[in-house]
Amino acid sequence: MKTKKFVIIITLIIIASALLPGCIESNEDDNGGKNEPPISVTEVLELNESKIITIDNTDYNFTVKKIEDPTVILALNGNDSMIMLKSNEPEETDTDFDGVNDLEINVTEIAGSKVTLDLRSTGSASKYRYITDDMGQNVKVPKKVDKIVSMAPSITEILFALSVGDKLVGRDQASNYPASAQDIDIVSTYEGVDMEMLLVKDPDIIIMDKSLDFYDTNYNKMKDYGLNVFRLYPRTIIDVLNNIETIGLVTNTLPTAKELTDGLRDRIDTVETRETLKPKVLYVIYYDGTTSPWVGTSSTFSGDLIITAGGKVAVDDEMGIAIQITVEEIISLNPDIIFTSQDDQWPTPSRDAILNDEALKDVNAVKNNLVIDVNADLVDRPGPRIVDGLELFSDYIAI
Amino acid sequence: MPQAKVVLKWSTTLFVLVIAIVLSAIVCLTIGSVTIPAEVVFQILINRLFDQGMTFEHGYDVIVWDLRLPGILMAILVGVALSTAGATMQGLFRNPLADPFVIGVSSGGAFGAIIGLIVQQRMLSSIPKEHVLPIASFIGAIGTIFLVYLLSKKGGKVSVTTMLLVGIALSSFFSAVTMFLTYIQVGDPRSVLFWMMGALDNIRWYNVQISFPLILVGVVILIIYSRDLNAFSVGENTAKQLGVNVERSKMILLSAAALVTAVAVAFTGIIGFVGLIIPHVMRKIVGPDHRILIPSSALFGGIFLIWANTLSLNFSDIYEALSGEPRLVILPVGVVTALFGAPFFLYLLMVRK
Repeated sequence: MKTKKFVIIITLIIIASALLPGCIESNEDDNGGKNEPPISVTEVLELNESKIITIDNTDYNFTVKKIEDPTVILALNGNDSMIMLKSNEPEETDTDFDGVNDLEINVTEIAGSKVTLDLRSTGSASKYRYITDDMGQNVKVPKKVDKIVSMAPSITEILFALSVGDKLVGRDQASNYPASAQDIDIVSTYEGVDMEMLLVKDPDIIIMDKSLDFYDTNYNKMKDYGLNVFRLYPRTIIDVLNNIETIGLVTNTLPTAKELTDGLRDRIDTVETRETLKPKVLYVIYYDGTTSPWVGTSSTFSGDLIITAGGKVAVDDEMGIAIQITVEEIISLNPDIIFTSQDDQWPTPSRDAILNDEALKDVNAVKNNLVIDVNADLVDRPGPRIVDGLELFSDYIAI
Repeated sequence: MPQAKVVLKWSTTLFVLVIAIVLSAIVCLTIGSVTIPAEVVFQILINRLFDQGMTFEHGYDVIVWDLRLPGILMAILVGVALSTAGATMQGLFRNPLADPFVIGVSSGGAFGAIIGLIVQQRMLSSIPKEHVLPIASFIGAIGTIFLVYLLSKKGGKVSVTTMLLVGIALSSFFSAVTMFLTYIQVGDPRSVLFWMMGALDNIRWYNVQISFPLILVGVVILIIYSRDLNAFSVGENTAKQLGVNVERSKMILLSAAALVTAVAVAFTGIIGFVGLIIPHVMRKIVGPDHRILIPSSALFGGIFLIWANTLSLNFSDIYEALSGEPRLVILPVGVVTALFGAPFFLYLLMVRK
């Protein structure tokens, strides 16, 4: 009797073990738990042939660049190549090309100059589109964008101007305009991005300005966690207009964006038609009478504003960031107009320091009382208000 | 009165030093971030000194007369102040390691400056920073001296050893508080840090006009009392027997040295090594008699600081020559003096062995 019980128990255990792996079998998908049947396609491509293959409602443009049995070099959507081994897993390239995550690509056969590809969509492709950002990355952007994180005050302003400010779930500490922006939670301070906060917010897309993340520290951190980051890198007023339209595309508000940029373009055109005597203009960011002054140059936004408004930029430089010059150089340059950067929250002493400095009293701008405080946010922020800054500059530069 | 031969030797030395200082000043007037040809600099000097009524383009005369010249004059004044104070301290304390900051003047000055900065930001923002800082720093420096003196006084007498120790203790305390306040201070700590490493850029005529009488008075006092310093170097009891009113001399010497140091620190921050090294160099050249040591240290200190200042302000050119990158780099003067002073000091120590 004991033996019989024993046999039954052993049999049950064996059956259970056979079934167990099947029970725990997980469905790997990255679309929040919903199982959608993958869609497969098998295609044969010729060497140097580009073919558009449609899988799961999304077009992929494949090009076979090189065949060296058993390796094949493929390009997807015209971007970086992937090196594939026959019937093996696709090797990771060292660019982060998100397109690979949605497709399983297998080279099943190589015959002369023909390659057979077996493609399987993991089901998430139809939910995304790919938009190229300012850094040349093809960023995976959800088709429906409901939760946005902004990592720059200019981006926040653009989002509100496009009426999608209510979709913001996180902002950086400096985003303070419009006033309602201040009610949004802060996910990034001057010390860096708060990853925990950011992950909790679970944004559909994060938009950042590369010039604020000079060494890519925040960007790399966010990429390590697999977040979708869209990077802008505006350097001129025209770039700002393009950025507004790009954000319109990302947030599905392109018509509103175009309307906004049309209006801004009209205002810019009006400024450009004004007559000027091409005065020499210096933009002082900080001067307190005790250290050498920080100024804007021909390659910063202030420089573009000055040129567009019909002036001459006092300081020529290519680095694209503010630099220090000496008081001697200011005297020697002898600018006709000096704009001093001012801020409501952190008042700068620049204008007073310049007017009180006895060594600067013969400088044209000082003599003619053309040392003017300007709101830094209108000059340094690559958002819609930069045209306000342009008009302010023009008021003094034009005749 | 020393022998005629000695007086002649001293006079010659001082004369040579005066010529050297004038030449250094003129040469350094031609050096700056804006290139101005030497002939133009001469023309500007003659124009301003003899009221010729010439005009110059590109603001050259403003640059030379209103920017560079005050800077050089200030360098002379501060060099003079720190060297004489340093020589005095070394004589008073009979210690070759003494420098003008040894009784807490520098840390008191820095502390005063940071307090002044905070007060100016919060309450007095109508008065510009460059007016508040020197006054606050001066009050801090002088206040510290008083404190040191009061804490070291025992029965009408002040022991120099006690003063030294009290000075060190107060220095540490003020340094710590200053560091902390600089750290938590909201706003740009850069200018305060720069000041604490010694800053001679952006000096204007009014800085010179205020410091000149104060430093002149102090240095003259120190030169007059240099005979007493000679007596001090053999010991206070011996000095008393030689007819020196020890306590009164000590007070006067300390006060004068503290005054000139406090003025220097108030306007230019903490410039180290000048007060320490210059007296040693001059002692090797002219000997330990303070009647020649003090004035010659003063002049040589002025020369040294003129050049250190020019190097510090025009470091960008050297940086560009070395790295190929054009970038504005202004080295704080204190860094330049340390770079030269420290190796030289080590050399002195080696030679003594």
